Amino acid sequence: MTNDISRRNLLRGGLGVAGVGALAGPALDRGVPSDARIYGVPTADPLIEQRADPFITPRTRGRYYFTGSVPEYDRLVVRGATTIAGLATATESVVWRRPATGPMGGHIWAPELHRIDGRWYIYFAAGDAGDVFRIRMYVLESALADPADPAGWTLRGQVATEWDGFSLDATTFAHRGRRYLVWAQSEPEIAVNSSLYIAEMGSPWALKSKPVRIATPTRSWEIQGYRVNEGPAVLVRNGRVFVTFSASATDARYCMGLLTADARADLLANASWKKTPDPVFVTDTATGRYGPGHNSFTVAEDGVTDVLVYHARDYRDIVGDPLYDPNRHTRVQRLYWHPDGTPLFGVPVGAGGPIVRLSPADASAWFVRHDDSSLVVGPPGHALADTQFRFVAAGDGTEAIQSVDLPERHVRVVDGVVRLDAGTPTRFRRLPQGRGVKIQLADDATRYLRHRNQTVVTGDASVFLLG
Amino acid sequence: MSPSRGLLGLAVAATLIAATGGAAPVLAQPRAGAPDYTITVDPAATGPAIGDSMYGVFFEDINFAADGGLYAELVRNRSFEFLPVDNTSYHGLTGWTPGGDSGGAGTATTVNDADRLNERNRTYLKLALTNPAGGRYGVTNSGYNAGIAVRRGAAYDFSVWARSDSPAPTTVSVLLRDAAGEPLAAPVRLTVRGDGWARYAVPVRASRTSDAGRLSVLAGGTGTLRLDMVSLLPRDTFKGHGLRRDLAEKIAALRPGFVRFPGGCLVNTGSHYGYDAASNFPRARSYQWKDTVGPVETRATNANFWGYNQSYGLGYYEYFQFSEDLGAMPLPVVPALVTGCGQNRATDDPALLRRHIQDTLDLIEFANGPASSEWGALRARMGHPKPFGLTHVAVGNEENLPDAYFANFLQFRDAIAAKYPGITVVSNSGPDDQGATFDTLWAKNKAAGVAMVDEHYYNSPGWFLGNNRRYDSYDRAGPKVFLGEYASLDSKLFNSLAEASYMTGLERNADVVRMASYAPLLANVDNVQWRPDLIWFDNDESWGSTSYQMQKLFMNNVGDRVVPSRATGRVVTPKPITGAIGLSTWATAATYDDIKVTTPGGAVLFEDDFAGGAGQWSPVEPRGTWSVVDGGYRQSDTAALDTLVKAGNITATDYDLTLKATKQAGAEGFLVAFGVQDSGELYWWNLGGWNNTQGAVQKGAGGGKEIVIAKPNSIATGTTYDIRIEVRGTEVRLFLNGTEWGSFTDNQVTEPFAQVITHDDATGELIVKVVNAQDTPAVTAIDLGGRRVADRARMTVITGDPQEQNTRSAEPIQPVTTTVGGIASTFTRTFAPNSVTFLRLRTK
Repeated sequence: MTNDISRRNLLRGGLGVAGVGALAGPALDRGVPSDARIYGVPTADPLIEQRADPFITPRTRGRYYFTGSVPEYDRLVVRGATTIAGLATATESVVWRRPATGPMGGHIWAPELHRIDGRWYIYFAAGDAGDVFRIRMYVLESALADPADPAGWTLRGQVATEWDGFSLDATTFAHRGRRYLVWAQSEPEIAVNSSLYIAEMGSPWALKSKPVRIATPTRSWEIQGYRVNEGPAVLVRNGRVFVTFSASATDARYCMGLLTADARADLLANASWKKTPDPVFVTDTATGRYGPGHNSFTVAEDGVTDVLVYHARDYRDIVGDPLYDPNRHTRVQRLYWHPDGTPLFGVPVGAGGPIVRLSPADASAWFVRHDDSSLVVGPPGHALADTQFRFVAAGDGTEAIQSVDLPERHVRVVDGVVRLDAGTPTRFRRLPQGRGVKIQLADDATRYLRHRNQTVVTGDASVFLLG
Repeated sequence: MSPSRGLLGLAVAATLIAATGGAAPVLAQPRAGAPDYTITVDPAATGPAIGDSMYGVFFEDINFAADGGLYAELVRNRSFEFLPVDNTSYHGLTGWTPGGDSGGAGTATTVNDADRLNERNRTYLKLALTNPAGGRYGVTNSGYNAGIAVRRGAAYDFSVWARSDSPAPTTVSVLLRDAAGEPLAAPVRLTVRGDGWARYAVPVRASRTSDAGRLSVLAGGTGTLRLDMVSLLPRDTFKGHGLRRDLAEKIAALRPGFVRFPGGCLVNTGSHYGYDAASNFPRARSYQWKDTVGPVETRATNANFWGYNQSYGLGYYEYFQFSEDLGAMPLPVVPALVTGCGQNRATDDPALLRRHIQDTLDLIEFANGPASSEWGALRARMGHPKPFGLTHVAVGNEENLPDAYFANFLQFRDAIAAKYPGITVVSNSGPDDQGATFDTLWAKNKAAGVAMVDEHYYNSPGWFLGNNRRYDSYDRAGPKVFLGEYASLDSKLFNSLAEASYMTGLERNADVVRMASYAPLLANVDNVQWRPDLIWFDNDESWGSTSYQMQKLFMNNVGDRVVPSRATGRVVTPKPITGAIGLSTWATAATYDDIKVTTPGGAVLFEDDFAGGAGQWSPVEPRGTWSVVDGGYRQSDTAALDTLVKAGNITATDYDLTLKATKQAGAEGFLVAFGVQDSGELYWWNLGGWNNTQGAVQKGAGGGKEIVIAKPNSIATGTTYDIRIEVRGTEVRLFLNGTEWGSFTDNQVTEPFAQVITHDDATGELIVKVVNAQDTPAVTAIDLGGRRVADRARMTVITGDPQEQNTRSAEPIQPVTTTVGGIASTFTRTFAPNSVTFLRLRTK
């Protein structure tokens, strides 16, 4: 992962410059790139059905590899493809099946695939055959180049922790010359289901430092149904180490939180980690995505666009135990960055085409966003989703502009006023102009969307950059 | 403390604590720019002196606090005395694994026969050795927690009592290795000669650090080798007195003014007879100090009330020595021959009572008598010729039989007063903060002119925030209060904030409350019988809870005299009981049906007859098995405890909850909840609770549940009950089958802001102690009543996420000390949300 990070930082020059940066590149030669190219992330939704706790590797020797929990919780699967989108249809191989008896014969959960010193490792959680919830962490190793090849895998054993207990969701990363494991575990003193821990690793399957707790469920959004912090995922960007995690029961209350440490800090000190007070990624009834979480991160084919990989259901109400409802589907969407260097998760987006953000060329660091039913222009905030739109083709060359987080609403021009509401969408045409587009009203070629005084009005054209 | 205080605490008043006034007038929101709170020092008044023993510690051998804890012995079951009576999983070789190496062979059995080491050390290890040449056979001890913890380079003293019937000398190898068998020290050898018990000792130096060591004692040759008292003690102990250094240092850092010991429930529970042949060597005896002194191999053993064996390696001499090493007043507790702690028996044996009274007089002689006296001589022989300076003795702990207890107490007191008139004899008020036992005992204590009464209570943080003024109204001329055990029920910062708030009230009432100790003190993380606890440990590490940090802050900044001050500002007044309704069970299968919430006028706010499933209900606790069966909502798992599900969100302040409930099977009855908040706060009507003996309304908040009202009640299986709960704001009436069962009004005022100011005579400083136990900052105007102070002051703050806790994996809640300016006779400071702040102001 570190190789990708350094390459990425070279490409980007440090801080993310929101979506606009994605415009730079070969596409510029041919004018404005497509929305799909701007968005940079596949829009198939779900990407993979009935795969929970999804994990997609960084592109390694030209291929992405996927693994995740299967509804039967009985095996480890890997699929590989040259693109993220290709994972949807790639052949899935079973690389390991649980034994009928003994340790690892119980629930098999949340595998992750990591490449360390030229070998592949699968970190996974497994219960015992006699007690399927006696979950502990285990490691498989393969020296083969292709991790989807079942032939290469051998069990390296259990990751032993300072105290024995319910432990799961191991993820590993190297940072500043050290390799770390982050995982979820129950701790005897704390009356919660699981907290998050970090330790330095002495080998890919053994810890060499004592575990340090970096998060425990304390806030209301972390203790719904179960008191859970789990599913950590690490992303080093912008001088910080970010750890996302998931909280609460695995139903519609499941959600994601964020921990942040300075990249130069001692990652083995609890005080280095700050928890964002509110969840960063939650159920969205408007987009119809419930219980999003247990994410991982990868980078799109362009080498710079960060991709949030997560699971969510598309219904709220579950009959029976949510654990045995199979429809946590793997989904991917773009992860954005605020100019202050912090990640923007937005909402779990619903089905639809590629997503863009609009910046007026005369205020190119600002974004168009909806504010209730009006469209305004302002500096980037930490709420991403109100700046996200889709251009939806009508088939006649015109397009509607659909809100991503309020998908029932479109940009409408009513009595000359620009609104975002639920009536019949107004049709627009995008006309390329320099690095951006002019957005013309389809039924009045003299009028365009226009940025004026931090609002969007109609009149003479403004150029909008798409990012 | 009481092991089942829910049951013991039943007899309480029919309302929650009546509000005795909050932080003065209840304000609406302060006007803009105005402070949230004011603290005003009375320029003229003088407050009570605070004694050096205001705060102390309470040591009880609970949670492996002694063996496997403060007592530094590394070998578990060193004397092979473990028995199933101590704990059903125990046997003579608990902690030990027999085995050989190099082809060694033999058998290892524990034997209680006439070949024993001595009368009170009854069982020993018998190794029948059948080794071929070069073979070794013996036993391996795995210590406590992960094993025997050793530090590279540190010295350890191995010793063993042994005898061998082999004509040839028997070579015994002592091996310290890790769990994989790799050496942790160079092996050492002893040679046992002769078939009479003798002590053999040899030092061992660790070559590596490990927290998972194993001690093997392997013998070569043949014959019968008998071993007892296999001991490995670190040479590095607290002041060289045999106590584990890190734990003792954490206790010492509290600067305790007293040490109450040895309990607690283990003082007075079980048999009061002696460990002797006449009594058939009973286990599970009360704590009888003479069992615990003299050479360790002659001390008795016992089944600890908390479910394990205690060796008495840590005994009365060690307690006195530790108190002295801490600079703390020793406060022993002796049994009164009346048990509390759920046993609730009085032993009616006048001769035995006389013996225990004489034992208590002998204890005072042991502590204070000249080396020429019988018991003073024992003290001197043990290494302390000088007296320990005992001034207080407590008789009894949490007795639930006030008449029997108090009659015995008076006999103890009279005998002590007759022989040692200078000794203060401490009584108690039972296991709870209120109720019939409490009232009866207080009345008796007052009438008898008792000097000091030991109060114990473990309550919710809300209780502590609501009862800051508890001691304001105590009789200044009556018995003084020793708050010997208290804690708010959980381990989070919020609990510590609530305790801190309460402690300001203790200090303000220092003329009445003379001593206070949080409890319990110690907990071995792998052997916990009670929580919360102050200091936690495993075999090689220790760490302090948030309350440890809070206690340490208070105990290191006591001051010598209270400077009277008053505070004004907002308090949290009782709110109408609103929120979701809930259904739960406790080890019981039951069905609920026809649930309806209506206004007093009959408008339906919520209803569910489960004809359309149970879609309105969601689990609060993910336990139990709920399903719609025969048109009702049934929880069918008779093992699950607290299976709470909730529905609706009643925002009306006046409403009636009605439902039908039928028990199918199990230990108890019904739990019907109302006013269920997302925060976890709730009330529930517990019918057929405590194994189907009691009914109660309990209020849950902040991890604890306190009893609001209670009375006998049982629920019949197969009978359908009509349950009706009428809520009118904060007033609640409960009806069972149409008959009023009980009622209560919850008028508890919560004071999130508390303060006290003391004067430190040695430094001349004013110590301003401010607790802000809420999520908002407290802008506070402080008026020192004309006292002139330096502009800059040292400030120590404990703050953080109120739900955080300190554990072995992280201790995020720590005090931070800085220097702040802007201090004057009147000044304004903003106290952080969820914080405790100590300002030390230098006076001019």
